[in-house]
Amino acid sequence: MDKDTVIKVENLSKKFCRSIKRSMFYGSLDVAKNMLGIKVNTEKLRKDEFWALENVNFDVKKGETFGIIGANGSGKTTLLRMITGIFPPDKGKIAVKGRIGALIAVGAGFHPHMTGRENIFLNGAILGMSREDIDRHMDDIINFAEIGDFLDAPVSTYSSGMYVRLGFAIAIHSLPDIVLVDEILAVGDPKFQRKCLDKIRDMKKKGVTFIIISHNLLTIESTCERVLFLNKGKQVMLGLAEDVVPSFELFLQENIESNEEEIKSNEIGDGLGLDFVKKYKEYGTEEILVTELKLKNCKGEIKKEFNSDESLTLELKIKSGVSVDKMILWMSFIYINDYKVDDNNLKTLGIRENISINEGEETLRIIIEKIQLTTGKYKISVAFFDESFINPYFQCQFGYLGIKKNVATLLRVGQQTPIFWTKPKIERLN
Amino acid sequence: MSQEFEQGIVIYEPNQRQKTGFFKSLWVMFENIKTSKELIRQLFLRDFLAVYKKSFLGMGWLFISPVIGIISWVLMNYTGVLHPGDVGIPYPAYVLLSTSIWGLFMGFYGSAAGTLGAGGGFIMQVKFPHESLLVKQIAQHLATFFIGFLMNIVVLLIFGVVPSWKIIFFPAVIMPLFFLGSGIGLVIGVINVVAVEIQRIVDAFFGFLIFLTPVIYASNISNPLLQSVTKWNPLTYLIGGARDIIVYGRIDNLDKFLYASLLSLVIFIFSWRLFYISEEKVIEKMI
Repeated sequence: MDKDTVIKVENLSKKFCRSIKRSMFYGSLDVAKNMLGIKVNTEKLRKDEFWALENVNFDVKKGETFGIIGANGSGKTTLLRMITGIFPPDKGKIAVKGRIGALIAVGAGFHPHMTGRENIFLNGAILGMSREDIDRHMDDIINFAEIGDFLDAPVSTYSSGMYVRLGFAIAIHSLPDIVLVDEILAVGDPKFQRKCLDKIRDMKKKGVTFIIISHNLLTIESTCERVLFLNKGKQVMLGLAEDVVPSFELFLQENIESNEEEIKSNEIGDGLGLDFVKKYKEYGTEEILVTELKLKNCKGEIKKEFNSDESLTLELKIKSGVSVDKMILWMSFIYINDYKVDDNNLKTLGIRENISINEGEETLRIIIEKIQLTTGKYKISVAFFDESFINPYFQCQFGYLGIKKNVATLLRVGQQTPIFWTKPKIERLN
Repeated sequence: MSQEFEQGIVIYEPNQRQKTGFFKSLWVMFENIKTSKELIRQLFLRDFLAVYKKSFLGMGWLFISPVIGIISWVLMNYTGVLHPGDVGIPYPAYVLLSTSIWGLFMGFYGSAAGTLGAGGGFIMQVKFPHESLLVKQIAQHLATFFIGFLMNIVVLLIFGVVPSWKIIFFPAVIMPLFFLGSGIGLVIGVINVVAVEIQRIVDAFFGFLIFLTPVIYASNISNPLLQSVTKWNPLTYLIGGARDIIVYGRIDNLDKFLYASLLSLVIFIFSWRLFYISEEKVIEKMI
């Protein structure tokens, strides 16, 4: 191991069992073998076993922030548990230099009936802090967690935010050399998240190493120098964040297809509107449907290609089985060469309007004064949500809208720049 | 921590614990306990005290439970349900003391069996020496036992049984009970994670074993079958020894007590080792 390497993972593999009964049987068998002093061969797969991690290799340098990404079930948390030493490897080797602080879950071992102060001592001890360490950092922890008067109240009376803040505060004050973070930066209010990120930066300056698991690729891109991309336990790619993250995004795009329904007939309505290009299976109640989407220019001519300074009118034919006073019409323009990673993706542009819908058929006309999109082909995603913006009635994508840019200073898709459209006008035709 | 160090580097490899030498693993576990004193203290406080925080009577339950036990035995004695023959001291006092020591043994077993379960919730999240859970479990059991035991001594005095001054050796005399009880418990606890029936079976067996041990009857019982069973039952001597040191200030059958103690120690050492090499293999099954 080099002088500045703090974690070295070589040919690491870990197996799990699909069947609970068989898993328990294998466990009993292994314990029985241990009793008799017989060596357990961990390198062979038995029936129903599979490699949850297979042949993973990487190392992490001191002071580095290292990201691990992958879809659910790709083995990220298992890998963290193995680096911490909770699970032993079945093949390969892990070498760790320095004290590990694992943030796999915050507030591990908290007792709900004990006060915040008592739980600081308890959790601190679980994280390996001595009594003196805890005493010395008590004030820092209390200040960081911002729990104020609640310090001497049982943690069961805490809000979930306070609970997480306290857990996080203890963990980062537990003096680790290496911190393993499993998706917990997504919790707490934005102000606290900011504080955590600042603290992480501070600790990095002092030479603390971080390994971060997150589904938020923006966090990974902005905080990690190198990233490991896992898929179904296998190492797909290891390299600089700027190389690995886009590969992972592309991988997600290719794999998202499986959630989509095959569109049999592309032609809907009178054939002059846009085609259906995508629909998500079992998404929304489908009490409201968009049966047609036509694009028109300022003269009312039906078109599929526009200049970026032109006005665009979207004519939606809606068939509704319900009357809803308050609902949200959500439309987004998705750059065809791009791909939607998640709902927070900044690479989509959209319209969000509160509208009401009457039972029966009607046509909505949405007028955008200037399109202001860059050259390219776009899919238009249309969705209806309830007031809380949680439950969709319907969502599908239409295609394609072609745009030709003719203004040099247009806002570019893909830039993390806010888009200021003039508020679109909505008209009703019956 | 429990793993091998080479210049401050911790290495994790397959079957690493199995490869660790027998005596070294015992030593590692002992060291782990030494370094987790604060953790043990905190876990003890959490589980011993916090349990009573929500209850109205609070810590009062620590006293109420033994009192109920005492009352039931005293009542049974006065109604004449039990006629055990001569045990040398008033029968309720004999039974009270014996069952209390039996409870001590069962508690050693039960708390050791619950070692891994006691870390439920964070055993999968944080790496810490799990031996500390065993110590916490035992400490918690001893604390509960001690309160009940003190009250039993008071009852003994009421029945006119004045404990011998040799009661000060009691902590040493119960060590074999600890070795045997927690030795069995540690192994059962580990197996129980992967074979959940095992603890029920062993619990049921122990429920029956109390009748094969002179606990509620005297060791000179006339039934020939029971006589031969109790003769070979190490608990006869271990529990008897602990009782005798209080009541008579001596241990009858001292040689057999020592053999049984040695056997308990051997069982404990092997269980300790087996716990060390097997626990990390079963922990992943606790998800």
